[in-house]
Amino acid sequence: MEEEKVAITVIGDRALIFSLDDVKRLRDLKVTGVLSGTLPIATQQNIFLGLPLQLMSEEVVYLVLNRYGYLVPSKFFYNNLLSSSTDGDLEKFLELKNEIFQSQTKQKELDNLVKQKNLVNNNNNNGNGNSHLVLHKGSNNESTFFYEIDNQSLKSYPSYKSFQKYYDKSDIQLKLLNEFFMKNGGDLLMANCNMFSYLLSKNYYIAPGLKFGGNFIAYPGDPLNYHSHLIVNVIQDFYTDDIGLNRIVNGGRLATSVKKIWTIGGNKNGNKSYKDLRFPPNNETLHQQQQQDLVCFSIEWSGFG
Amino acid sequence: MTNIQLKPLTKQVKTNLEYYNLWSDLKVYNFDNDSIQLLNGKPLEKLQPSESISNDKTRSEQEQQGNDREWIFPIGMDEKLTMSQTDFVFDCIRLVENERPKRIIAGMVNNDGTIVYYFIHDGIVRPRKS
Repeated sequence: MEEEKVAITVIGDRALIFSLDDVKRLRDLKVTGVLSGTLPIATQQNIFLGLPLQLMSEEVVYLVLNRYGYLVPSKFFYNNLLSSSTDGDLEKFLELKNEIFQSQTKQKELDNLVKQKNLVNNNNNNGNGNSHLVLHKGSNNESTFFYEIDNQSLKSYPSYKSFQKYYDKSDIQLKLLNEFFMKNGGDLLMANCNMFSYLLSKNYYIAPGLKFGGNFIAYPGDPLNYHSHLIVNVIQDFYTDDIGLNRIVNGGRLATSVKKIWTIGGNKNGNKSYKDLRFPPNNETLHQQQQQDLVCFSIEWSGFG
Repeated sequence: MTNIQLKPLTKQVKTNLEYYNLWSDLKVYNFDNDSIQLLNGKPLEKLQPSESISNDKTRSEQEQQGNDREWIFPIGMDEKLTMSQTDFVFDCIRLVENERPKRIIAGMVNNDGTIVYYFIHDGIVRPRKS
């Protein structure tokens, strides 16, 4: 059975995952992301955060291009979908909407009924007995007293999932990905993505590199179990970009003192432009060819001088 | 090899290695029409090895064979260093050793005479255990 794809929602400049099942699936793919959810009135430190999971741009590109996930389009897509729908489609939408409206009304009426019953029973018993008992008594007469609400509310409501078949197609996903690239650094992001998938192919788990001033930090296993090994910096242009001797000293000295390695990587054959991105053929992973052209150097303090 | 013209930078690094860090048997190699000058020598004590993530076995074998000579690449702090230049240095050494070395040492020279040495490993390596 084919695994369900992960829905990636891009809101503003953040890519977010809202489903816990999706988060678990991503973990199996070695994509960890960063939990970012908290409550405005009870803000938490970052070890206590919950859903949604925020993804790095590189993770988004990796997931979409390898068909592990799909991008959920913004409202423009729905507007266009609406304008291109036939009258038949619109009628269906309307029917669905009515259905939901009616079920909601029914629920409201039921709630009201419960309240009234409670009120009446409470008066009869002069407030004796707990309300659960009262409800039970009532349920003998009203068969619909206990009304089960489907937990998977997404199934019954017309959400982004109901339209998945419309936008989870290669051409539309490619366009959405292009848009994502344009918002998130274009070809600069492309170079990072190559490095990202290269490291992933070497079985590293990758997290954002801010903690140590790099593009990424790489863990030899799940970040919950391991300390990171690498501080990774991406060199955009293999032939012209200066690594910077000061950066070598900075990176090397810092990394060595925190028991890591400062790693730089660049693409020998130059990075493709994001505009030329295509989905790889089935059963082939992303950038397989580009990865072979990736050259890395690891820098470390020598221990003398 | 005795009549190789030493570049000022190479000379400075060589002197530092020889008399300050007490390296021995330092040799100078010229590559690419003398545009790249490298030093090869033996440190006083064997430098700490880092493990390569790929061919661990070959690496440990190599160390057992007592290959404790290091390649030094002298460079001034005001110079530019690109990925391709670094890659090229590795390829130059291949002409002598028939394979790319696992690592080189960049000897970076400041204009006040300070010299710092940093390993540049080929590829991704694991950090030291200690």
